[in-house]
Amino acid sequence: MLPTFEPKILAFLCNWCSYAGADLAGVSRFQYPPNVRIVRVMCSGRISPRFVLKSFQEGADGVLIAGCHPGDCHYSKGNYYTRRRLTVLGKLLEHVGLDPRRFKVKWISASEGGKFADVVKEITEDVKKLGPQNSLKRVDENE
Amino acid sequence: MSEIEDKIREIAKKLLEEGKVKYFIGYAKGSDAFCAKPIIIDDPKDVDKLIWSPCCVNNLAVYLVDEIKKKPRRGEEPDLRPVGIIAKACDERGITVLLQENILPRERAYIIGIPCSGMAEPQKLEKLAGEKGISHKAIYDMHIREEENEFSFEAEGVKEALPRDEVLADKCKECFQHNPKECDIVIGESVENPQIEKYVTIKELEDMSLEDREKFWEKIFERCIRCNACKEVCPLCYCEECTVEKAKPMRWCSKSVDKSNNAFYHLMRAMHLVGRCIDCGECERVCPMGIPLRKLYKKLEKEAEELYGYEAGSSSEDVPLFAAFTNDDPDEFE
Repeated sequence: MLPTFEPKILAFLCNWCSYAGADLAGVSRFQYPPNVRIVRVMCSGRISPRFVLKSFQEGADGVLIAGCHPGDCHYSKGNYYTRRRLTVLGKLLEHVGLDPRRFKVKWISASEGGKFADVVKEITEDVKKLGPQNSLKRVDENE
Repeated sequence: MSEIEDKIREIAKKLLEEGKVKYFIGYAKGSDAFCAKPIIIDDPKDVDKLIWSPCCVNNLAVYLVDEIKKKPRRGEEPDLRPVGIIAKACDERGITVLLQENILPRERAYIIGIPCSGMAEPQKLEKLAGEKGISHKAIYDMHIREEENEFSFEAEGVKEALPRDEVLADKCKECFQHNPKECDIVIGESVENPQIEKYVTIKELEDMSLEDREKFWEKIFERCIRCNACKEVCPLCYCEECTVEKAKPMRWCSKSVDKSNNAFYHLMRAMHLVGRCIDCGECERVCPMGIPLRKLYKKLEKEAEELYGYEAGSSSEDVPLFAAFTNDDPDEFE
């Protein structure tokens, strides 16, 4: 039997809402795929477009970014800046031919453990169907 | 056209003689007639070197950045007099962004605006001259003039006229803002802004399927030799420490030339130019590998306009695109 493709998903979660949401998902025992690797950041406003590009370069098949709902930001306006920046980044990635399903931004609050599990399920299934991401992945000469 | 040239020389001479400007940045005759070269003049005797022709494509705003970055020698008083600069509408937009981002203090530049209805692309001119069989020596002495609907040039006693549409630079075909605004003096009469279809450059790409687009850009990015010419010529790429160059605290982008790193380089550069790129087309002009960079930046210009109604370089009072937000920005993220 051929080994099935297990995508690597990198998730950047904001400390105050989404990380707590992921925690809640764990505490509430919601099942979600183990393909996701979580990086905690203090605010979704911390996420620079180069984080996303670097993730894809280092071999992530999908990138998920989650922060507080607009208006709920712990630092009052961090996620508003993120919203502009990442909307444009999404358009750019789509323009150069990267499937938009590989790059997701979601607003997940600390009480939405179920939503976190659903989002992870959704992106994992999508990326599984799409297969490995090779357009931005680094070419390793040693391989 | 020659009237404007005389006026430029007159103003430059006056400014330099009175010592009102430190030096004057303008255009001089290039090594062939097709491309004017930038020139910096600090002696009023040299003003006759200044020219104005349909070949003045370069964006001079980049030299203002050099001026700002320059540090005085130890023990020397910095010369804070303004710098005279010739600005077409696109150059002026570049200067406006520099003003907006507080890189350039307004009093450090004396801007001489020239309304411009489009410049000729050197490659296109050269190709057409070749077809008409004009020798290289003649090309150097050639005079290019702009008339109603054509660029005429004289060489070896032969006068040829080229239709405007065929030699006009691609960026000028899409330019919808022909008159500089933020100027100290305007030379020449203002030109009527044309009613044109915006963003035709990227229309073809947008209609492609995702896979085709991926293949298209893959081929393009593979071609890049990372000479950094696009970065050097860009008036808005002024960072002392560039994210694609520095190795500390983290090497974001390797300098090795391969598909992945090239893509990273260009995408990162594009992200840094959102809401700032003024479409002067210099990056594309200087690219030795013919990478259609405007197709990348134009897309972002379009998104900035459609999503946030933001136009780069329209006013130095505007808050930069990514430094502002509103509660009802479009939100696709749920």
